[in-house]
Amino acid sequence: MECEQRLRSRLIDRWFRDEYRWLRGWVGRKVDCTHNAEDIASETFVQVLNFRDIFAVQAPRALLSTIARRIMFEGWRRRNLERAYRENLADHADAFHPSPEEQLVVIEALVAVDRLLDGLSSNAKAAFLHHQLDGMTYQQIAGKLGVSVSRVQQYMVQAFKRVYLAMEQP
Amino acid sequence: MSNLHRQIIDEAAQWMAILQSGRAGDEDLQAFEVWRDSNPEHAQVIARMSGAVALVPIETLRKLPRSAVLASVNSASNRREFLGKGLSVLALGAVALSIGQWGGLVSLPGELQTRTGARGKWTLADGSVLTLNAQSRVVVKMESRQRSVTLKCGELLVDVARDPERPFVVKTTHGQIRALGTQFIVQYSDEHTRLVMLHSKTQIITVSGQGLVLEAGQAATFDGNGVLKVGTALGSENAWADGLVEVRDLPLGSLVNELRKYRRGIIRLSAEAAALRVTGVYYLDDIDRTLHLLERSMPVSVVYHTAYWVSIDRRT
Repeated sequence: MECEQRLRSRLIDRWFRDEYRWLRGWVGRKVDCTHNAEDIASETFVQVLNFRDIFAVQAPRALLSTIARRIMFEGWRRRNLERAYRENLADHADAFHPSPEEQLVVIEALVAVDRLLDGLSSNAKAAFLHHQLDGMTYQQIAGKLGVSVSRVQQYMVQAFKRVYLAMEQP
Repeated sequence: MSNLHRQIIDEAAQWMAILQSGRAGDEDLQAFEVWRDSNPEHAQVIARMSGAVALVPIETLRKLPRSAVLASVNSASNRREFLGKGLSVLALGAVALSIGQWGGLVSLPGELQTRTGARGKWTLADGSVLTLNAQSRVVVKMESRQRSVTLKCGELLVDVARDPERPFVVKTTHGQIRALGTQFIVQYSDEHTRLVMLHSKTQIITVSGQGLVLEAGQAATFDGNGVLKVGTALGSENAWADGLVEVRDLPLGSLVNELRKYRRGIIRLSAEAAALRVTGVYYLDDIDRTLHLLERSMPVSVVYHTAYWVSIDRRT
């Protein structure tokens, strides 16, 4: 075990020496700020640490760029979510005053649900959330969205599938 | 994923939608049980699908205005679009960062930049002196009516040569800072711009058009919508120009963020260690020495996994 750990760390160390500069350059061409590129490249290697089948990897650059791409997407998506949420919240400022800690929890929750529902139409997302959060019946949801009840049922089918697949393929 | 498996997921989702409709009768339930028990994989997929639905953080989301939740999850194009179109979508999304030409590292005329671990100092044609902290970038434009420096990222210390005819303007995506002759620091992040006045005074004009005059010893934070905060400068903001970082009762996390600009490779910091408060003056040009110092003066352990890779944890 000890030995495998050491091999792992040696392998990652070698990748780091050989590929870090390349990865940072690769990321750097995609983002604007050097320090963002640095952060993303670093985070990529941190995630590589937890990559189980590291010895099976034939093309480290392909793995690294895939992970980096995912990190960039997550960051981009999170900023978007956060911005949309804050903008909308401004309209409710009188009713709702979350503390900074609460806000962090809220953003994490939004990121989680966004990941699960990603790819659905906005109506399907709305149907699923009204059902899960508000306990609305399909009938009520149909009224709210201005669609038929059987359409709502289709939305729910899509949503259940999506949520399942999102969990299967992190 | 096999077609068969795909079909089972499809059927399971149909069943879930029926069972959760609130209108499922005994017959539906019996038919569902027959389906579920006819194949162990059916039962497994249904169980996992229920588990996946349980991952929705219902309690937290329930407390929020529903419109805010819906607006957020519908705020941007989705993941597949992103992955499909490749990174040009990202560049557009990361937005606001760049004006027109994204992709940044293509060197533009008048562009000055520093990488990790190095500051840079330049004297411009008019005699003004720019000092860039590590990992920073500016674009300089000298025109007959105006001298302008656009801070694309990082941090800038500028010593403006006096020229009443030609104002000196530092621009960010959040607004601009106008000066005739003075010394100040501008720090840029995606979220906001911070200005620290060292000598004389300047005027901030945010993108939204809000104006504010700032005097020596003051500091202000603003974004595109307006001025967020005005306060007193700490007096240590320009320490980096001398290769030092000074912190007073700040979380270790913010000190380490400064150090990261100066050390190639990874510094991992555990959340417990990041929350510790720290006060002191530290060297930027010898990060390993600084880390050693931290280890001796604080309840943290500093472990070098490789030369590039350092972990800082709270000592137990």
